[in-house]
Amino acid sequence: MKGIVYALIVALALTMLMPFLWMLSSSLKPQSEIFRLPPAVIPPHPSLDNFRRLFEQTPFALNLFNTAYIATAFTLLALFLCSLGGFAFAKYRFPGREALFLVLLGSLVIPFEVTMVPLYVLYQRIGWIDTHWPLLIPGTANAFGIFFMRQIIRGVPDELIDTARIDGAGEFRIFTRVIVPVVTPALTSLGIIFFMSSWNSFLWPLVLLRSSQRLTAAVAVARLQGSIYAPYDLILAGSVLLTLPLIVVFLILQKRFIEGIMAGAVKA
Amino acid sequence: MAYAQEHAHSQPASRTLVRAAGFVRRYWAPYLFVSPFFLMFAAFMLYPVLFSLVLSFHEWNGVGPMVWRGLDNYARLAHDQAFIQSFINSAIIFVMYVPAMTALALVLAALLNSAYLRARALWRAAIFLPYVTAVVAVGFTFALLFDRDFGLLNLVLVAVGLPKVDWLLLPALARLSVSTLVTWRWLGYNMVIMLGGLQNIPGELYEAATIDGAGVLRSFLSITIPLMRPVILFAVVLSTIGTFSLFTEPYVLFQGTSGAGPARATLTPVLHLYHNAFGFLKFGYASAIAYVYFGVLFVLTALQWKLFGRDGG
Amino acid sequence: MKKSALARLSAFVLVISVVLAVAAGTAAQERATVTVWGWEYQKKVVDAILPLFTRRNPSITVDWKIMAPQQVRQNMLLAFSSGAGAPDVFGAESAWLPQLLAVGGATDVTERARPYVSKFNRFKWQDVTVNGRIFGMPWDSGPVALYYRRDVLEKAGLPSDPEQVAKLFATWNEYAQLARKIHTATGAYMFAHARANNDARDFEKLAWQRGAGYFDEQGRVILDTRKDNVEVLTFLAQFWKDDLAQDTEPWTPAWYKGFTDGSVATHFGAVWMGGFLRTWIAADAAGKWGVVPLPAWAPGGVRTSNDGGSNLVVSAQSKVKDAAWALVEFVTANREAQVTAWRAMDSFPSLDEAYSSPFARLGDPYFGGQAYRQVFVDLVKQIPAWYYTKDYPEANSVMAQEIVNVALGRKTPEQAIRDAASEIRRRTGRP
Repeated sequence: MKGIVYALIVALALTMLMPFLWMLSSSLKPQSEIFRLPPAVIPPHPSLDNFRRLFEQTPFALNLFNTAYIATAFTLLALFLCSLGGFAFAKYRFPGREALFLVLLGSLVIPFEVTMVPLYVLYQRIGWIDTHWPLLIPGTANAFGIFFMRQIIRGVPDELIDTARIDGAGEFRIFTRVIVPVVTPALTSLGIIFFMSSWNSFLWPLVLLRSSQRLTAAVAVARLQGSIYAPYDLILAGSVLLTLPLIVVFLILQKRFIEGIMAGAVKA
Repeated sequence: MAYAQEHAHSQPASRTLVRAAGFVRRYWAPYLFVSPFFLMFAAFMLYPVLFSLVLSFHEWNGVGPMVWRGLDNYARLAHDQAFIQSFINSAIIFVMYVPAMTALALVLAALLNSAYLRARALWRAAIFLPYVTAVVAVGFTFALLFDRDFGLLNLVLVAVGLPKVDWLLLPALARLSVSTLVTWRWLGYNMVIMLGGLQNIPGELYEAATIDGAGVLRSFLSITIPLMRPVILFAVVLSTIGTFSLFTEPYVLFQGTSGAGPARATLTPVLHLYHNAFGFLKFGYASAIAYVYFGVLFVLTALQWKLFGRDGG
Repeated sequence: MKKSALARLSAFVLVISVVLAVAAGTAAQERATVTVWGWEYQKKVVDAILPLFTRRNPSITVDWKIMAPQQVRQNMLLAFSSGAGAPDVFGAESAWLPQLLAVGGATDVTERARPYVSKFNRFKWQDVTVNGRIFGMPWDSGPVALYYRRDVLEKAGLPSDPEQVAKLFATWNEYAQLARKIHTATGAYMFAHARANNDARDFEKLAWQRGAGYFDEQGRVILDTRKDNVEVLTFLAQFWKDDLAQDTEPWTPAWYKGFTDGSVATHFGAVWMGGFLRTWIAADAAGKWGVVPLPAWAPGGVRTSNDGGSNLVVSAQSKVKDAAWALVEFVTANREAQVTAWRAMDSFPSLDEAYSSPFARLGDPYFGGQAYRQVFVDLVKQIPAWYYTKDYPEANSVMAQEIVNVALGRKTPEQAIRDAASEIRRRTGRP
C-alpha cells in the first residue's frame, strides 16, 4: 500500500515538474529541433543561441528589468501602505472605524474586470497609457493586504505601543520602530504574494503597454508571437527567463511563501 | 491653535474650532494611515464602478460622442450567443476540473499532513511550484505539449498504441486542455489552503478515533471532511471565481482565435469583455457585460455559501 | 505704356509670390522628420527605397517605429481617442483600416490623390475611401492564384506544365473532381483547410472571387442574401466531408510541413505566399511548385481574388503633412520606388504601371523557372470589389466560428451562414 502511494506521489511530482523541464529543454534547441519527430527529450546540440537572439532582436533585457523594478517598487509601496492601514484599523479607536472597515471588506467583492473599461478611459485622459504608473500605484493600498496586516498587528501586545508612547515616540515612529520589526515575518509572506502577482500579471499590462521598450516580460513573451509566424525558439527562451527568477525566489523563501498563502486563506 | 484657545470663551464659533482642533490632534494618525486606501478606492474603484454603470447605458467607441441607449445593451446581451456560450463554457470547465482538483488537493494535503510519507517538504514544493510561474510562459509550453503533430502528449499516446488526439482542435478537448493547465497551476495552491485548515484540527480527535477502532479512511471521512467544510467551501468559491474570469490560459493556448478556441469552446466572460472593449471598441456594451458578469458571480458565490456553508463546522 | 507697366508689375508680383510660395513650400519641408508606424516587413520595403527618396527630398528624415499590424491599429485608436501621440504616417492593413477611418484618424488626401486614381488597381481604392473622399494610398495588393505541386500532379499521372494545369483546373468543379483522383493516386490532400481554429480567410478568398462576402457597397449584410456565400461554404465543406482537405491550422509547423513534403497538392493563396514559400515556409521544396490562375466558378468566369494587402496613410494629427504626403506619394505612386521594392522584398505593387517592369517576366527557379509573378500581373485587373467596412473584424470572428461548426458537422452550410448573418446584423446593427 505504501509503495503504491509513493509511486503515485512520485508520478504526480514528476508530472508537475515535466512542463518546466520541457520548456527548458526546448529553449536550448533550434526551431527545427523543437518541431522534429520524434522530439529529443535532451537536446542533442544544446545551445544558448535562442537566448542570444532574443536579447539581440528584441529589448527583452529591458522588458525583464521593467518587470523586476515594477514588481519590487509595487511590493515595497504596497507593504508600507497596507501595514500602515492595518496598523490603524488594529490599534486605534476612531469615529467611523467600523463603517470604514466594512467599506474596505466590501471592496473585495468588486472584480477588477468591472473597472477595466472605465479605468482604461481614465488612464487615457491622464496620460497613463503606455506608462508604468497604472502598474505601480493603483492597488498598492489594497483591501486584502490591509485586512491581512490588521489580523497580524492585532496580535502585537498593546503594552509595547503604550511604552513607546510614554517614551515620547510619535505615531509614525511607533509604526516604524515598534510595529514593523515584530511583524516582519508576516510582511515577508505578504510581500512574496504581492511580488508574485505583480511579476505574473498579464491582462492589464497587455491592454495598457504599447512600446516594445516599456513592455513587461510577460507581455513581451506573448508579443513574440507575430500575426503569422510563431518563433517558438525565442518564445521558449523568453518563457524560461520569465519563470526562472520566481522559481528561485520561491525555493529560497518557500516556508514564508506557503505560510502566507495559508494565513491568507485561513484569515479570509 | 493658540489663537483658538485664547478666544475659546468669547465666541461660540471658535468653540467648534477648538473641538475640531482637538479632534484632529487626537485622530489625525489613524485617518492619515487609512487614507491611501480610501483615496485609491475612490479613484480606481468607486469612480470606475459608477462610470461603468453609466457607460453600460450608452454606445461609445471611446473616441466619438457617447450615445444614450437605455437598456439596449442589456437587452442585446440576452441574445448574444457568444456571451451565453461564455458562461456555459465556464460552467463546463468548472465541472471538468474543480471537483477533481479539490478532492485531489484534500487527499494530498491529508497525506502531507500525516507522518505517513517521508520527504514531505519535497513533494509539497514540487506540487506547489507551478503556482509561482507566469501563465504566459507555461501556456506556450502547454501549447507545445498539446500539439497534435509534434506534441509530447500525442507521442506518448501513439507509443502505447492509441490514436492521436486533437487536443486543441475539438471543442470538448479544448476545454479539457484549459482545465488541465488550470489544474496543473492551481492544485498546489489548493493543497496548501487545505493544509492550513488541517493544521487547525486538533490531533486528539484522530487519536480518539483510532482508539475507537476507526481506520484511516473512516477518520478521513468522519473527522477530516466535516471539519474541513469551511476551508473546502472557500477553495471552491475561489475556483468558481477563477474559472469564470479565466483569461490568460485560453488566450495563450488559442492565440489564433484570441482565446475563443474552436467553435468558441473556451471563450470566457472576461475574454468576451476584452474582445468587445479592446477589439471591437464597444465600451458601452463591454460595460454591460462586466455588470452582468459581476451579478452572476455574486449570485453564484452567495448561493454556494448558502447551500454549503450553512451548517458547516 | 501705362498698361504695360501695370502688366509688368503684376507679372513681377506674380513671380514674387510664386517664388515665395515655393520657398514656403520648401521651408515647410525643410528639416522635417516624418514619423512612421508600421510592421517590420513594411520597414524593410521602405528601407529598400529610402535612398531614392532621400536623393529627391534631402530635407526629410524618416523615423520608423516597428510594431505588429494589430499594434499599429491599437496604438492609432489610442492616439485618436486621446487627441495626441499619433505618428505622421502609418501602414494599415485593408482589413482594419476602415475602422480607423471611421473614427477620423486619417488626413483627407482626395485632391492630392486624384491624379493617381486611374493608375492603381481599381478595387484597392475602396479600402481607403469613405463617402467619396480618399484617406490613404494603396500600397501593395494580394491577388490570389492557385499554387500547385508539380511533382504531386505528375505522380497522379496529370500534366504539370502551367499552361496545361490552367486548363485542367479551369473550374472549381473540375478541381473538386480531380481532388479524389489525386488523393487516391498519391495520398496527397487537395489543400490544407483547418476544421477547428479556422480563420475564415479561405472562405473569404473564394467569396471575394464571386464578388460576394459580408457587406455590399451600402454596408448592408449580404452574407445570407447572396447565394454565392452558401455555395462557397458548401464547396469547402465537401472537402472536409470527403476527407480531401488536410486538417492543419494555418501558420503552424504542421501546416508548413504540408507545403514542404508534398502532402498537399494545391493552395489557393495570394501573391505574397510565393515569397513566403520560397524563403521560409517551404524553402526545401524548390522547383516543385507552380502557379496558375484560380479555377473559375463558371466557365469563363473571374479567375482570381484578393487576400491581404496594405495601404499607407497620412494621420490626421500630423503637423508635417506636406512632408508626410511626399513620403506616402513616393513610396506608393512612384514607379521606380514600387519596382525597387518589388525586386527587393517581393512587395506586389498596387500601382499598375509598375507591372511593365521586366522583373514580372523573370523566371523563378523556385517555381521551376516559371515567371510566376506575371500570372498575378495578368490577374490583378480582374479582382472584384469587396467592402470591408469598419465591422469587418467582428464579421470575420463570427464567420470563423460558424465555419468551425460546419467543419465539425454541427451545422449545415445553410444554417451556419444564416446564423452568422443574423449574429452580424445583431452585433453591428446593420440591415
